[in-house]
Amino acid sequence: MRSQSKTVYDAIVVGSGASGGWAAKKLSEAGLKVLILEAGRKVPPSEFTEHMPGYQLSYRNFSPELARTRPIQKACYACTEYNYDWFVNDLENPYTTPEDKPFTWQRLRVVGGRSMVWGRQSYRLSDLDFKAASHDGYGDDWPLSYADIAPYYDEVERYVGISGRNEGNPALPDGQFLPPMAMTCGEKLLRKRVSEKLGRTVTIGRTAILTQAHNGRAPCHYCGPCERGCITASYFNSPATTLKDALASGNCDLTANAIVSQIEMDNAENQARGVTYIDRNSRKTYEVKARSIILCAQALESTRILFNSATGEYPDGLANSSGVLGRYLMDHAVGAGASGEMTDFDYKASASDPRRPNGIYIIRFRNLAGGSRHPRFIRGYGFQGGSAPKFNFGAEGFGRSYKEAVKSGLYGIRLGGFGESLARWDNYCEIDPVKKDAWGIPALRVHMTHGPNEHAMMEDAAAAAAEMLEATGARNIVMNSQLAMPGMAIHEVGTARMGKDPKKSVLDSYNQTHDIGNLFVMDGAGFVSSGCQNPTLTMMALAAKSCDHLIERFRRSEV
Amino acid sequence: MKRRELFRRSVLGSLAAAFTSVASGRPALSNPEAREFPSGHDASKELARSDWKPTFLDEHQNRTLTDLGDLIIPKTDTPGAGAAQVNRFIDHLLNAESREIQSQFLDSLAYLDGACRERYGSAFIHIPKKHQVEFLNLIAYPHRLVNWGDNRSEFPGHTHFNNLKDWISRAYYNSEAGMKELGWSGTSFHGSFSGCEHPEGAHR
Repeated sequence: MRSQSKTVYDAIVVGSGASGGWAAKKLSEAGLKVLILEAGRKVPPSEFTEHMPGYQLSYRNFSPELARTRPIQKACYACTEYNYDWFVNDLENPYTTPEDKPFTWQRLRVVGGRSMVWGRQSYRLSDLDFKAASHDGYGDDWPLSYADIAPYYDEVERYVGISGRNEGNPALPDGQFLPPMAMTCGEKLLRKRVSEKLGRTVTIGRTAILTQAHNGRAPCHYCGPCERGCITASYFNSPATTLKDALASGNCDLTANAIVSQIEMDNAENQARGVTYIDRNSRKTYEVKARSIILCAQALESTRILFNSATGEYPDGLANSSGVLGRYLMDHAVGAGASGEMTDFDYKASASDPRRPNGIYIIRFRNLAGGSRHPRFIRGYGFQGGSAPKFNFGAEGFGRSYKEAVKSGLYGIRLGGFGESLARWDNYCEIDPVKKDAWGIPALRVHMTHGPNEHAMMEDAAAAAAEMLEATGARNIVMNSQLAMPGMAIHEVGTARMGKDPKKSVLDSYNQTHDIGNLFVMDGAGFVSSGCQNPTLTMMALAAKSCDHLIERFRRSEV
Repeated sequence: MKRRELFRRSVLGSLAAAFTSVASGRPALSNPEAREFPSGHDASKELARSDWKPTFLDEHQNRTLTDLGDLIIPKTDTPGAGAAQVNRFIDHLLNAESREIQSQFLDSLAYLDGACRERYGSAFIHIPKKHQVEFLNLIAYPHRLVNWGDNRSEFPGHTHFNNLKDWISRAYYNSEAGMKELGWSGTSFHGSFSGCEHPEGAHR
């Protein structure tokens, strides 16, 4: 039985995370009638546990429940006994991979999506990224340039509140920043030595966490675990910001627990007319109508919806006349880096210290415009990391000496690389012929590996990390050049790439499908290349930019 | 809802879900209701009950774990594993763990008794403390056996010791007593993060 709603919205936004929040805010504040459909439930602030000590939990944050129902999700540091039910239940939300191509897919289904638990690191791409193909001949340029998106980076940064420091480094454009968070002694030394000896820039992480009151939200109070919620809304997530604004506009409805199974088409007009969703709890099916449909469900999930919406006109997936849908899946190469100990500082860790939910960032220094080219790989990588005192739970021995060793601790230093993932045709997703999720919706089959370029790049990243720690005076340096499983960066982008040529791409530069004039994908699916920077800021800026364009088209009655 | 009821629901709920999914070949839908933690929620109070009895370990295993806990994390100027009821928490957690993890733990505990019987003629809890310490000194550090002409073989004692120590250390340092020992003061609100406060140029 399918219930049909009589209301025809101007836009349905599928997904309520970082990009969906922006789409809903922009469109509803412009006076358009918007419906947000979110597959998950609402998270009331009473579920925030950022101040709850571990001993008050049943299993002190070692709950075996994670292994049972979140065997995939638990690989994410942010999925814990405190909040695991914000992450999808892996038993209910399956996907498949070939045996020799493991891929980990980290997902949330709650209002706010992954913005509830994201890492908050916010970096701009530059023309070294948007025009990467022109730079080194591999792949395709984006159909837009830095100058096109820069005003939207400004708009998003000003609204979100990104703390950071301008460095004047062209590989990582400066932005509209709140005051930066402080560096520790180890990080200041790293910045100084790496700059002097190697000419590289170590900067404080640019993070979507407030260092001063901003847009009615309080500054960070340094309790630490943002991923468990924040009662002062000091880190950016959509429910506390964009969604709140959208709902306050009076033009926006939000339906939670609405799992979109497919887009409904008016085939005669070649227009999307609405979507069908299944209520997560009742399993009843509903159809809602709109003049435009905007997928912001997360790259793979949006592509899954398009595949599952195939019609006679689009037998290989909706808006897939190019055959490119699902192709060019990317996720940053991570796992390589180095760690060590600083012996110059005698600070001791204390559980009562403020906890800065941020680290340092090292700006890409390989294969820059006008610089030398690395002989073994194209593109580049950045590092995230930090240096601070920590407890030494791994100390050998037992008894009084062990207790003392734990407290004496170490002054650690570590760097972890984030390398560009090349856009490759053979990294793709499709609909699994058999597997369905708990609501009967066909599941994805994901095919992805990191290739020789990523391996060579991460080997270089490990060596470069060790070199920088050595330059800083670290001891007991341990390198890791092993790549983590694809998906582990949780920066999956691509699968519905933008492009100028409708035969070679799914979306135009305004995130509109080439094939269907009122169907858009405004999440990371449109990325043409991955850069090495964390992608969320760019997704939000693209969504804001494309919504301005869509609003203009509504004004001209073109939709 | 009472805590005991919450716990019963979560354990029974997940067992039921696992069973349904095996039986029907289709995953059961998880409870859509969120887990909330009402103010004052403190699961560790449940472990402090005066009528507490182990539910996973037997009496002998529980005593072995308790003795071992007090040797690895003894009472010093701060509480030790005993006062933090580390054995009770581990029993509670093991009860919910997978069979594989349960047997790894029991194997390590059994190793202690086996090796002590061989060496001292009695199980770990029945030998004098002097011998317990002597025995732990033998297994507490990385220990490689090398013979001329033989391949190197790893000494299993250290692996078992580290397994048990890891459980005890995690249980202790995540207990209220353990967190306080590490400096936890109960407050999470910090006005600022000052970072390095040395004058510019102090770090060369």
